[in-house]
Amino acid sequence: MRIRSILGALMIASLPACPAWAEMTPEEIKKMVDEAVEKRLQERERREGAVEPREAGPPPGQYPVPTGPMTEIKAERPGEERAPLSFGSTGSGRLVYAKPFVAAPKAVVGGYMDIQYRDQSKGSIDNGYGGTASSFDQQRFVPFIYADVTEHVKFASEVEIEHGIREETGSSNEVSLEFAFIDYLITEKVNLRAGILLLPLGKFNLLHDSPLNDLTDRPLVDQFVIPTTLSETGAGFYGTFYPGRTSKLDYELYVTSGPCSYLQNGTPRITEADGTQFSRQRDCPSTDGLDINNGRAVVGRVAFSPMLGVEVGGSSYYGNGAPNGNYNPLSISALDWTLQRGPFELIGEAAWAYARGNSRAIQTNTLGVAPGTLLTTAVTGQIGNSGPGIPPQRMNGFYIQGNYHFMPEFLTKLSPKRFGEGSTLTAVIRYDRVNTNLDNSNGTGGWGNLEQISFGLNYRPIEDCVFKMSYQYQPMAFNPNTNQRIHDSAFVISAATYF
Amino acid sequence: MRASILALIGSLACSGCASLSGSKDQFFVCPFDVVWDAALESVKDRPAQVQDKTKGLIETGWVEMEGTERSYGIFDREAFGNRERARMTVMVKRLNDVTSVSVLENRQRWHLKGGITQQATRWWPIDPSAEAETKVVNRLNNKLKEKGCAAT
Repeated sequence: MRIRSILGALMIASLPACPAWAEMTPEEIKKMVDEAVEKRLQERERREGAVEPREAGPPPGQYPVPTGPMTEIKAERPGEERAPLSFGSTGSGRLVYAKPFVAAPKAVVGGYMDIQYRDQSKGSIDNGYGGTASSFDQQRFVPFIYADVTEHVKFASEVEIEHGIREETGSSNEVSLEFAFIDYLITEKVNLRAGILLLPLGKFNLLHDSPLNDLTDRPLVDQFVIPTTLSETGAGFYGTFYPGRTSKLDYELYVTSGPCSYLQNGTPRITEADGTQFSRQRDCPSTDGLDINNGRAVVGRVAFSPMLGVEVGGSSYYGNGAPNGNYNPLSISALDWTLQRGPFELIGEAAWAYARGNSRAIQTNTLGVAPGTLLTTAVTGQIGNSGPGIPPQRMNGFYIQGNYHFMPEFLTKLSPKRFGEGSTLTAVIRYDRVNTNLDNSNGTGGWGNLEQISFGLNYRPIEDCVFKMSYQYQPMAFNPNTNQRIHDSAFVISAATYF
Repeated sequence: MRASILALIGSLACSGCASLSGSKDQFFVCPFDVVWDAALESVKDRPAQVQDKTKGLIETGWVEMEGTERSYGIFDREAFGNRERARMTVMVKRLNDVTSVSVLENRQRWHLKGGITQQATRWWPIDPSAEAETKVVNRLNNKLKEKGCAAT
């Protein structure tokens, strides 16, 4: 404002020196002066960039101190700010900012973390020191980045750091991309997706984040039969149809790298103790996580929702898990359901897996056994309750969970800020059942024959943040430290939040 | 055990197929044609998708709008575009002496869940807006009142 007044005064002071202006009306002169001042100001701003706003500085005591727009970084010379940064940009040190998101930020950075304390009645927590009965565990710290690249191009990614307190020791320390994909949105019915994909096998694998779930532990079927979190590199389609007035049909269909069911020496990675979880691409010892054969896997899910609050989904996965020269496909099929009525929810999932030929030696194995020979503990070193420890071929499991959301009025009255609108308490009950070796007919079944009942109560101050506690009764459990079938129980408390 | 669970899920799922669950229903002592015209008028501010007089069905197209405020995480951030969309379904039926009208809104929100999931770039169903449904019902009532039709 001060500069504008000075420039205006100078222009008016110079009027007598311009005889032509004597013939102009006062309005015309004023308009001319305004235009000239505006022009001078624009030139000045171009020369000095955005220096003037910074002179004013932030109001005292303001925190955090506001910064200028990131677009200022890229301007090295007057006029350069109009050229988009690209490979043709000049300079050196500043080229690190030659990113489109600097000029036009479109990314969202966020994430979630969880922390839990577990107290088992038996020393069944595997800590590498013979087992323990109780422990803190900061299991997941998961930053994510999401970007609206254009109206039709979206990017989403999730980095998972599991048990992050550890440094790299060559053990199971895990830092990995859980998913990272680019979506090209065409129509609501057909969209393209490519990258590291969360496989649409069951619903839990797609919505597995700790703050979304009402119990701390994932369902057993989603640990052993569907090896959540299950992601693979690939590409495919997804979309939504509206077949009726209130109904909705969603589908996803992808072609991916496929499972990795064997070590290089031919030892099966699908076992009775661990189910299918080590057949995942992310656990594969192949170089750079590349495909171990020339086959691809196909995975798809169809979910039908006849009305709001009701959904039934069916999904399937099929791919060759054996190295070249063998065809031992792993197939997993799942059925999931979600029913919501007022404060009640009934959710669950059932899954069936078949690892064809997993119990016999494959071609090209270096275990010293002829291809087709039945594998035993002596050969594989794997555990199993049926004596020989034969690697499993068939497994299945399911869970069913009931949730009830409520908020007692006395709590809302006691503290409306903590227990008011948006906050809720949830009572949970879940029944889990899984058998990772259906061919094991030894007594009550093998070590993978598990049963668990969980009772939980949790508090959400807002939807994206939850404090959970639960009691788990495990009539059929497994102690990995002693390789024994046990009865067990646990008290688990945890917190999880998006940030 | 498993069979009973599946049967329960199936029956609950199918129970929702036959009706406009949660709709606002009205009954008018009025000829079908008059109610039909009034129903068309009451949703004329939305793009028409289906107008089937023989079935008595009016469906509008999706209308996108700024959503109700939705923040994410413990820092209460706004992100992912605060968008909602809605479409209206109106069913007009001849009954014995009266004509019934059911109004139901389908509403969806872009990126429903907290944080990022692979379901991020997708529309998610949410509860219909009672305000939007009431607006259509009120418009319908006013139109029919002008025509001298009484609501029962």
